[in-house]
Amino acid sequence: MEMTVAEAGAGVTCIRLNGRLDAAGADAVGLRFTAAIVPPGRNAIIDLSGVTFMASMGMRLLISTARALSFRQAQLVLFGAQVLVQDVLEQAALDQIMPITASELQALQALDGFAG
Amino acid sequence: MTSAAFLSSAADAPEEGIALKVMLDAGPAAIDVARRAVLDFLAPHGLSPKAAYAVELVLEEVLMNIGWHAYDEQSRHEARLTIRVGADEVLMRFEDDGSAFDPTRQAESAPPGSLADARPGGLGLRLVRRFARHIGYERRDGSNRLTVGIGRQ
Repeated sequence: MEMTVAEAGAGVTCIRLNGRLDAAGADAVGLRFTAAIVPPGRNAIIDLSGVTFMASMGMRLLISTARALSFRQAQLVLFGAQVLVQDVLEQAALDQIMPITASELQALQALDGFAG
Repeated sequence: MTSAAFLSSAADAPEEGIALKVMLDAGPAAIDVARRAVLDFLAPHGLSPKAAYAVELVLEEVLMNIGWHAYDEQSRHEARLTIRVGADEVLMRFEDDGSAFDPTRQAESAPPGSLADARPGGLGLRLVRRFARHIGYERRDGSNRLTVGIGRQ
């Protein structure tokens, strides 16, 4: 699992993930993922288009990071999941507790107060 | 050092199947070795992408759960996995000699209504239940035996 960090717009962090977000993948990027998102306390969008597989440990990482970010009054939005990954996210009901959009633009628009 | 070794491709395995021994104390890397072996075996059988994903997901979730719950720190963490491909389903059997644990009797909590209500744990079992066609458990001779059937389509 690989990740890159970028700016998606004014004050929005964009994390792009590539690979498997299973237990091994979550292990590989977990600390960097959390460190890139939580301490800055800014809204963040997560590009899942490069994620080929998602399992519960990957979802735990997303949930725990989103919760930590919410304590700083910031949001985390997922976008671009492949069909099978989207299905797993929905089966786990993650779409009920955090925004999951199809595109990066929609992810930005889902952030409260986004002015783009 | 991680390892996942074939017990046998024929003698110890059901027909049209393979058998693997997974050393769980090697962590997620051992599960990945098992996953690759399983995918190599399944490749010629023409599973749908959704079915192949379900097999990988069940393998990951069940082996992770065994590694977490079945053993204390002093014992070797080992699970045995056999996979058989039938006409319309893939049958996976997980066997470990750890503490008794019947996942079929675990109550499934309602999904959280908000991020604040979300709790770690339980996601793996939820996913296995949703992606499996059927799940069976028995405790026999000091071993947990979990059988999971996944539709090929």
